[in-house]
Amino acid sequence: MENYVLHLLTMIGIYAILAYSMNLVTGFGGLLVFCLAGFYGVGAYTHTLLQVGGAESRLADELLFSAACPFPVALLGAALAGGGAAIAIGVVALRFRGDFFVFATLGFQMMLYTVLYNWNELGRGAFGIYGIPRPVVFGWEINQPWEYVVLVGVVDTMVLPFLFLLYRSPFGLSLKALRDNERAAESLGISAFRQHLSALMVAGAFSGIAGGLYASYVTYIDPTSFGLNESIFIVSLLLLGGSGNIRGPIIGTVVMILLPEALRFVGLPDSFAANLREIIYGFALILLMYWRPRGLAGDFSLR
Amino acid sequence: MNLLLQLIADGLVNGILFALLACGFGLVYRSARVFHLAFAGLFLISPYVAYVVNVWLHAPIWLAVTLGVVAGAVAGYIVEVLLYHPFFRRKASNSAVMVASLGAFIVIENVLAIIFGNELRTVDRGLASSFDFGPITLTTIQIFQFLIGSAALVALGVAIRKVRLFKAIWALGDEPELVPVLGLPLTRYRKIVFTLSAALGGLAGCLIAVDVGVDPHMGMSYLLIAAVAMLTGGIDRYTGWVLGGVALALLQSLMVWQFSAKWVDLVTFTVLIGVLVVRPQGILGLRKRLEEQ
Repeated sequence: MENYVLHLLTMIGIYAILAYSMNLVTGFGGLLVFCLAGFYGVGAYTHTLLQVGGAESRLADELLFSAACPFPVALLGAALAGGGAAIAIGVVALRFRGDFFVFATLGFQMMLYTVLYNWNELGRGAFGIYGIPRPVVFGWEINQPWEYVVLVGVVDTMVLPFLFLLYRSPFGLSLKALRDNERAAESLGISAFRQHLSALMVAGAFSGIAGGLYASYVTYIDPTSFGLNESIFIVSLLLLGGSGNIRGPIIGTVVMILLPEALRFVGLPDSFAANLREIIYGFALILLMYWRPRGLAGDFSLR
Repeated sequence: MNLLLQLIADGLVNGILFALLACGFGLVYRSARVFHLAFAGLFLISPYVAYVVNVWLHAPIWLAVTLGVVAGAVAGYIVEVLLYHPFFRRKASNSAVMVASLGAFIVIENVLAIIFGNELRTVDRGLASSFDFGPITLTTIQIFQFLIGSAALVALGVAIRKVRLFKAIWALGDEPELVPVLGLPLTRYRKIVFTLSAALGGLAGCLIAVDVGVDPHMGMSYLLIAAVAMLTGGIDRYTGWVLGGVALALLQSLMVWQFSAKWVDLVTFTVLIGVLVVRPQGILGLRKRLEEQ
């Protein structure tokens, strides 16, 4: 029971990073993106490939490349890769606004999944990578659930305040201006393309960090954890909590992580519990968009 | 060389199916201006109904497909009445409608998965016999797909040119507020559009299911194809949608020829990127002035 609570705390910590990254793009930049799980996956895979290598690794010859970097370096690599992926999609998709921007990110998400799934030489495709080493941070080896909570908490306290600062910085304000009236903001000399791309890059990099944390927490990754459903989950936790401020995303994260757990205690039949959960998410999205597009505690409603 | 010809023939058959899907999607996008993500779940309802009629009730396959298409059309009507129309009345923003549509897709997909299971379901059609046309071999199913699909496309094309209703539906996409001013029934047009779109998608879904079967999670990649085909051809042109669908299928065939079948899905995204970068208005689209957008 104790470990169960610690597990939930770890997941909330990881998803909080994702929610606040997405908040920068959606709540401040006004862009709905459906490829955050893609960046998350890129981060997880990069982190894994940077960690799983070494002479004694059984998978070394099955992977395209692998290294045995220390944990912080691998996490940094994950951030760089996530940011790089975000720039790649942003350069193309940001030529559009509205439906087609969202659609391009959705397409990117699906293709990233296809690549991870089919490119066997990179990360064993559908088989996934197992045996990801436990993180060792400056000589402290992390094994116990509570140690993971501490690790995720430490990373959160480094990452999230940075994002909160960004929200209030001139950069965040210019994003807000672009969100509210893009043409007027551009006439004041704010480049929509540059600001949106930077926001995407920051979000991608932090999602990459979240991916690295996830990979070293579960020690096994495969592409199904980073598919479109995961992206939809991230979108719905932000939309549920509300975006454009600091309190919204954390409410969404806590509710969306705890809701399925609550359903577990209701005692649904196992055979379709997962499907039923998805159905509840689907209805939640519809009803939310109808009655409260701002989310539970948001400042910004989708436009 | 023969392999290439064969792949091009297969590509043309697939292209007709993609074009049907693109028309179903494009019709909604062009007129109601809804990014119809629920379409990805909606067009799977028809094949499942056809499956029930064919396998559980042992009806002949033509009856199953007909009933399937009818059921799909009804589902499209219901989705418009229960989902999109309330949002439209509320003047909800495009993104909000899109997210709600995504929610509807998730609901439909998982309801289908609960009823029919996650695995592939195939209709009872026996072993297909094949015909040789010179170096090309086509199965009877492919020939039927091609004939029925192109008949539907031609019928729709003629209707769009000749029937006055479609003029009004096109106008709906440009200025929805003006339609009731002219005394035309706006809500009825929207219902017609969504019903017709679901019927077209359902027909394509049934034709796909007769050949390769149907599983509840295949919708999204077909939706991606449909939307990219519409975008590639040009949003405003019916011929563009068809052209986009066929071009996409042929490119997929080339991908199979040159590389491997597992990278087929990548073609869709590459085409999307290519079109967005090189020709955002699509092959046949007209570039609009900024103030028209």
